[in-house]
Amino acid sequence: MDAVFRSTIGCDVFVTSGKAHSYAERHPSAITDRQFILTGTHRSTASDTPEASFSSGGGGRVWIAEGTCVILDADGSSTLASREDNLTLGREMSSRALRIMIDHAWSSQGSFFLHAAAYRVFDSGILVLAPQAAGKSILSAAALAAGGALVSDDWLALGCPSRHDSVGQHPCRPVAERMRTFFSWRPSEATKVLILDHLGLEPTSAPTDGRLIVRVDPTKDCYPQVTEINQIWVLCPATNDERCARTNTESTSPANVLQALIGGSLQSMWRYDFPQLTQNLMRTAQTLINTTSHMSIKTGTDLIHSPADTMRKLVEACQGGGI
Amino acid sequence: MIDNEKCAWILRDLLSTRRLTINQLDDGTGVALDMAGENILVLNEVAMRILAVFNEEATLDEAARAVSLEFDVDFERARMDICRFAEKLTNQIKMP
Repeated sequence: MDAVFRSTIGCDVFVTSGKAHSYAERHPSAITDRQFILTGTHRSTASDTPEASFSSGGGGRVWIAEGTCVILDADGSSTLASREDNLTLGREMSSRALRIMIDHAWSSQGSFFLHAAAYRVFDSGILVLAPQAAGKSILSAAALAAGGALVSDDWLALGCPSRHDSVGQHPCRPVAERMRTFFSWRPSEATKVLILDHLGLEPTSAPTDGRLIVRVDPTKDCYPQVTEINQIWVLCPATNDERCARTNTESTSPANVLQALIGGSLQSMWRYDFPQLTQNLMRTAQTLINTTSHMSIKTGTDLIHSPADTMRKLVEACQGGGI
Repeated sequence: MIDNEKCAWILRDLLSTRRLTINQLDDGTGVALDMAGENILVLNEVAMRILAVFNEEATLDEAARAVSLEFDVDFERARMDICRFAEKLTNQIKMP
């Protein structure tokens, strides 16, 4: 195998050269149901359509034709690249192409990539669902400033923790797992106060968009890889200009949570094209909704000025009540 | 408001052309995913039931009877609500 992408909640994804894939096809029993092989070659067709495939030990093969995706076999090693951002497997998970393929593989176990934040604060595991620029980063920074532990501030994997609990056979409690080795915050007054002044972190600045990048130190307790989820917070968009002094909460319905879950994931996975995959993801979503309390939030400037008090109130509000 | 014939046609068409994918939760509510229009709509129990009935190619009167029985409203009110729902859906997902 040329590269392996491992996760505690999704299946392992092996990226192989053609030779290794050929071996796996001749010896399918060598591959378990929780392992997928991802392989492919660059195709020089007239339209130069990039194409890749993956197959599972359980049999069957899914073909992906995705406009941005191409896998090159070069010098015996597989390299995943895309037209948008040249990405080599092993670097940060930022490629849409790779996400799509791993998402398809994981969904057989009911796990999927999610644009969300997750952390533990005041003994609760929180999953934060939000569109872009709704205040997710400020909440993540406030969670850290409140003494919490940050799993992910942007992209994560959501699914079942046990490798032996297949979705549908043994109900599980979904967990969130970090997929990146860094956190990144948009530069703003809020992040300056929380990240630089309050936490004293020393981020680097991304050359492309000036985002503040903090590398995860896996030896620190405040950066766990995985967290169970007890609460789901759905953020309503609030720009810095209109941010109120006080963070407000409201109750939200299970259907609103499902809407946010689908909105934050690869939406084509929830469509009629992949009924079995959708069924697996719906089981995970339903379990998540049944085993958590949820609310909607509009963030205020109190998160910046008194993060610990505000986060404590939010956790308590979601457990029952409201603020 | 759109007329009775048209609202039944709109709902049947949305389902038969697979413009919408419906994902249902245990409590009877759910969401409709409209990839073409990049919309994800939250649906209550009544809306989910209306779509389920039209998915079985029901007429407007058959759907109204089902809604009337299950949600304890009179037949005319159910018919009107179905057409209001069809109109709202049309506006939200920007039907051609």
